[in-house]
Amino acid sequence: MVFENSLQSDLDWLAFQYAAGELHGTELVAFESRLANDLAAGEALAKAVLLGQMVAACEWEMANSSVTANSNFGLPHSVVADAASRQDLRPEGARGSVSPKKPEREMTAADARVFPTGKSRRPAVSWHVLALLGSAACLALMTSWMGSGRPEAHRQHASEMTAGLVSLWIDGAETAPELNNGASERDVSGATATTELVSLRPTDVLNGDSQALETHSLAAGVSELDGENDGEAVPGWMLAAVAERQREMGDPEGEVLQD
Amino acid sequence: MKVASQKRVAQPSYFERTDAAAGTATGKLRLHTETTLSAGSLDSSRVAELYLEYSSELRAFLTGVLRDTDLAAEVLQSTFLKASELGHTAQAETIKGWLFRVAYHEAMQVRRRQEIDQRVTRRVAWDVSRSVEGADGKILRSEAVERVREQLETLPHELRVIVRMKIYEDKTFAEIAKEIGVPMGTVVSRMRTAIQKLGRELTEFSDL
Repeated sequence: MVFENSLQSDLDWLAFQYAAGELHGTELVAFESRLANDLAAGEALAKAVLLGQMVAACEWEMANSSVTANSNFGLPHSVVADAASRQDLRPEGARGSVSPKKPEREMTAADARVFPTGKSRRPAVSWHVLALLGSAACLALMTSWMGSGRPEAHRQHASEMTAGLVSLWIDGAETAPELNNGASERDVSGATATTELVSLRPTDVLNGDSQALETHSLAAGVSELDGENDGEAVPGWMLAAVAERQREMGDPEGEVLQD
Repeated sequence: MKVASQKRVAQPSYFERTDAAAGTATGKLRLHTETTLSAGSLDSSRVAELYLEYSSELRAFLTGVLRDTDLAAEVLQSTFLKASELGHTAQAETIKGWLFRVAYHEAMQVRRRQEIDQRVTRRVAWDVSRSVEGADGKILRSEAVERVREQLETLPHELRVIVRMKIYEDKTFAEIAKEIGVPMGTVVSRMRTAIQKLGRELTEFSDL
């Protein structure tokens, strides 16, 4: 057992040296050859990389704790971290080693491939959707209020106008066709949106169908809005809560409007 | 070609050799599920399971090989595409090893294509700004990182300094030795001790 632990320890250390760029020459070649077929070596490398990432994150956080503690205003940590990293608040010695690439790029690249059952999410898009939904809620309240004392035809017109404006706001090219194909009208008239939805399949994600994911993300928000928008006033706080909940849950049962 | 045995009766079997003469002649395997039959490919729900189970570890592995999180994400995707196409040829009990092998070969192809090869291994595999955000923004929020943070704070000062200089400031062992005025062997052994202490916390959190 002690011998096995020692071997594992040696492997972990070798993997760390490799991940830290401290293996050279024949040692480097030998370890890379080992990675090709040795699962234990691969696992050790993954562990070393994760450890390095976590320690780097901890060090960064400790170095910048005063900044994030004083200025986050309740924003998600990822947003604060991103904002702080743009200001390059790290110690002088560390500045040269940081890639200028922005975290959003990675989130887009990585999360577009994550299945909807995962917990991953895209904060940038979610905040965008949240802001849009908040604006849409205000508009819905206004139009509902305007139509409350008017004939049914006017109220229906107000609802349709709301849906149309919402679709225009949410990158019309992506979602407007779906809202205009009749589904949105049925939703506005009280039908449940779920009957018009299909599941986003893992194969779509594997095929890199980021457009479908984007549509799915936005359409999910719109369908919730439509489902509520039946001529009655929609509480803005409810829409915001639903959007926030969806964001927190990582949209586990992602669905996309069917063409 | 290897054929996986049927391990779980309640679940659909992963693979089953076709009885048809054409199937045996070509060596093709047929995947049986309760709903959809798709010859020569892995069921998408199974691929999804594999993704949820192994993607984090594979992503870290690929980041270690490629030293680039964007490239790692791309290769991770192509690995799972291969899994959906050819995963049925792997034995169920060794699917993890199969995924790592595929990932490694895909990564090496990318390295060769981009003509970066072994030059990339001179860099560290983590990036401070990326590490803060993590692959999907959960690094800082995870329980494991809390434990690592606690361990970091309990490290003796002489170890902590070296960890910080190596991992956060991205200095080589030689540079650290020169800067703090100790032999390089001492730096290496201190770093190893620190990594052993910190690494223990990760073994309990393999779900990262």
